[in-house]
Amino acid sequence: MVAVRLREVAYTLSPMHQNVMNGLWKDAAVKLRKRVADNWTCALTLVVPVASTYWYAEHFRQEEKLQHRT
Amino acid sequence: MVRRLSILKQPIFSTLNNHLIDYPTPSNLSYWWSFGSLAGLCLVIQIITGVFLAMHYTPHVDLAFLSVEHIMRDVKGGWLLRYMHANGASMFFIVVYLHIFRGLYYGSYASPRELVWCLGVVILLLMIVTAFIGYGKLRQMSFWGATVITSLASAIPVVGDTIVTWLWGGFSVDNATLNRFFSPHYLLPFIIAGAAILHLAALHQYGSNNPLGINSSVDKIAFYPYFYVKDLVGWVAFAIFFSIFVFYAPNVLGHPDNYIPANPMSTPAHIVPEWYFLPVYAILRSISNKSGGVAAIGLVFVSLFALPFINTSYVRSSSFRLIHQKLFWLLLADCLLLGWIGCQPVEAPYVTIGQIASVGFFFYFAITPILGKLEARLIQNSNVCEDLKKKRRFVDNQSFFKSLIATLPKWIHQFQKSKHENILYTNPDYLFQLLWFLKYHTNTRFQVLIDICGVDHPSRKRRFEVVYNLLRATAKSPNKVLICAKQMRRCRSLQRDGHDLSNRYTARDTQRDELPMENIACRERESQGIANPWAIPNRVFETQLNGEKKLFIFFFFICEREV
Repeated sequence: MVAVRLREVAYTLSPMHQNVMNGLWKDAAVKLRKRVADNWTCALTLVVPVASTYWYAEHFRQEEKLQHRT
Repeated sequence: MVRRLSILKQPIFSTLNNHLIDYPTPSNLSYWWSFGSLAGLCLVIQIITGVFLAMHYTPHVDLAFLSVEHIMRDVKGGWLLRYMHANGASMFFIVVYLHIFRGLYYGSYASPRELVWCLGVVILLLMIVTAFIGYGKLRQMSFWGATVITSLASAIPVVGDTIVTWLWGGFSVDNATLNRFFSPHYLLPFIIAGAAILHLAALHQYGSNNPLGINSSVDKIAFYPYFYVKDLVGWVAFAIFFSIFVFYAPNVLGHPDNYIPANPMSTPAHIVPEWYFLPVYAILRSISNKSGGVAAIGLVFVSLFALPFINTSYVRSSSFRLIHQKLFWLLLADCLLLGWIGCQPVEAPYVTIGQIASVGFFFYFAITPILGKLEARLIQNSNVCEDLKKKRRFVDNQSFFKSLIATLPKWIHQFQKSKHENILYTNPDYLFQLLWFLKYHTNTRFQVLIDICGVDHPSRKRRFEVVYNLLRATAKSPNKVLICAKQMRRCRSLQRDGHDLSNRYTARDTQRDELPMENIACRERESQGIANPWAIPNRVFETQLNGEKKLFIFFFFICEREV
């Protein structure tokens, strides 16, 4: 068990003065753009091998079916 | 401070309190950390639905298939129980696979959590065995799948055939097999529950990892209510996802041949296991020799067990390991490909793709021992300072910060050095990560955040600056982190742990653009007659320096002496 000092963060706002989840949809386009900009390389690293391999296999099968024409 | 009930101090309740309520948890955990509790939820769902299904299921070769139909049609809610149990198994594996990949990405397997990882692999093995023996044996696909997989035991030299006969309880999958599989299928989930408790105990020895992968002892919050609520959000999202399958597509993850009673005289054209076994099945089939395939499956789990011990990286999180990050996504792509190959027939080009993908899977584990050292070497070699190549410390501060910017291009976009200050410019999105990094990096560590100062330059385009003043530990560390912005939102006053300005701040240079903090702090206290040095005024000052009008907003901190 790691001995730690817990901090208590006390918020004393009246319910009439606070909004719940008001930041969720705020600047959604900006947040989305930032998320895409940060992660597009990783997404490509994931998607390109899978998609290209699937395409190759389907292409191979098609060529196999058309083999009798050569 | 909330008064605690005295009941929480009693022996059993105090243990529950220390591990489930007041348990210190890193404050920066993301939703990727919710999959652990979700896995526990899935186990509970499987146990409850399984117990009720077992009240109506008959494990006899002549009645098993019909009893399942009886459950579906005649038992009240039987269809729901059956679909929840069948799809619950799939959900369990989805959750556990996501949990495992989260651990791989953020380095949760690394020291000192090796035992947590190994227990997790044990749980995965138990789950695989439980799911396999619970798949049912008297349906067409499950019967032939069981025949194929149990036959693999014959690959064991000398005693292989004997073991297969013992497993079957005869010369083929039959009534004896059904009974001896159903019994441990009831028992093993409780063994899994025990292993899960051990897994949690091992985790609680050192605490959870976090997305930054660094020691989080200085910033932990109580598990309840923060992560109870966070996990509850995950549970609700999971319930929606689960319900879509149970109520709208209950058979999409299964095989239609399982609605045909088992026929030993008719072999299906393509025997495939359930989807969660497909990657391992693809690795098994990629080697034409039966023993080789079995050995490959064994090697998968040996690799998983060995991962914490072959890892050589000092950095845990893939957020700071650019090569490992790309390898991780390639591994995930590889596993998806293996899963796809597993359900394809054994013919070209799937055989070749499966073999390449299998090699790729093991390549990730093979390269792990050298990857950590390679990444450390690349970071070192990226610095322009030649002294580092002679294994000396940085002597040129400028080149160090240039290399820091190169290492963290997203977080630091500018560095400025003046006579007594090193100033890093960042933007608000990465402030926390940057401060955390600076706090713990050997060359940039600082003792504490002294104060936060907001400056309004009305004449500038980017008029607002927020300056985080740090009490640096070394002369080379940065002592200011600066955010420039076109607009600022209103801040609310918060109580924070902090540091005493007047005692520790060592500003000396009076020629800077900002006003000396120390003088203002002392003047404020004197003018208000505040004797208590731990006062927390928030003050706004308007002044003019070098012909430019500026507005300062200071946030002071309470300081509590640590005992």
